[in-house]
Amino acid sequence: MSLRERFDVAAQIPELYFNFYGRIAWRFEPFQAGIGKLRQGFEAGLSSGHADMGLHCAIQVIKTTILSGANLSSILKEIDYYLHLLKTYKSEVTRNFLHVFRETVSLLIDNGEATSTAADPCIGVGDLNDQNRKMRDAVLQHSVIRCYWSGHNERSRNFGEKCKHLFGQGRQSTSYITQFFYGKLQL
Amino acid sequence: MSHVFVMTTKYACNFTFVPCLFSLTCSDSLSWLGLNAIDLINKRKQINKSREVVQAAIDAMKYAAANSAWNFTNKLCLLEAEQLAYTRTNHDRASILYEASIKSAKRSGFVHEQGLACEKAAFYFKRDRNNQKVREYFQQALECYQVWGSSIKVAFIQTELDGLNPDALPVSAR
Repeated sequence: MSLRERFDVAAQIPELYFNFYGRIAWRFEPFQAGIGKLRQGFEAGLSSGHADMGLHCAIQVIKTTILSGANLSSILKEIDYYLHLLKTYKSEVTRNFLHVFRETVSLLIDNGEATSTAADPCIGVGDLNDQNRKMRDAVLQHSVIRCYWSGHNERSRNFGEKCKHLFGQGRQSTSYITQFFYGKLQL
Repeated sequence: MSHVFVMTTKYACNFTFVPCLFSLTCSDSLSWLGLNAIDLINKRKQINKSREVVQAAIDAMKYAAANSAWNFTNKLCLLEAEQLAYTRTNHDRASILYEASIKSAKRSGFVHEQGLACEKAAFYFKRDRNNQKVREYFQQALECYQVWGSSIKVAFIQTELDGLNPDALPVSAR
């Protein structure tokens, strides 16, 4: 970060903020602290022509806001704003992730009765665009969280079994939260 | 049991009723005992596996909390409290841990996890029939979930509050 200040590499801000505030900073800083910087990364990405990286920052913004316990309705509005922008900026990966987040938030608000768009992300078991199975893992982790909060403990435990391989070294914040819920479900 | 009756009738016609009935019921009960034993072993295995999963989750939270107490202390305290509540080993320590989890979540601004800790604490005290604490914790959970904006959780806690014995209300509120 000090190197960034020294050399003023504005064009690399989105990538830097995505990697640092999205993947590393939460390990030793409050979740809330990175959200502002990730929003800056999103704006810098769009204004400097690095829309892809900016939209990746948007994914991290939403993920971190959910983990920090922000008001669900405001998160839903923010997701809808990003989805609206995706009509202009084409990014299937971002769209799919945002739909997963949206369904989770919508279920937490009112079980999806009035807020769901019922727009499932395009994912399948053999999806060639999901070679690292990141999308599949995200869906599984969100299924654990959704089922836990909606009281479907057995279903949540089953999803937890399926994403046990994520409870290892070098993992991300969502896998800690998933393991927390999975551990609680055993009691 | 029905096949025992059929078999006993068949053997009764052959005038060997008593020994056969004895051997059949004996082998039957032995097989049931065997099945029960297998079931018990499976249950014990399941319990051991659950303990390992919980311990792994606690270890992971400890590791994460060592680097970022702000983000993970409330989760660690809640898991430890739930573990003690499950084993019913140390009532005082469990109460302290629930309270620590609530305070930590509140300090960190994790209103959803504050609500969750309150909800779990309420269920813990419900088993002890400490209705005053149950009401206090459910009320706090309700407020947290309202701030969070989750109407499904609000409805759930409201149902729990409505189901509480009205005798548990303070005299001024009756």
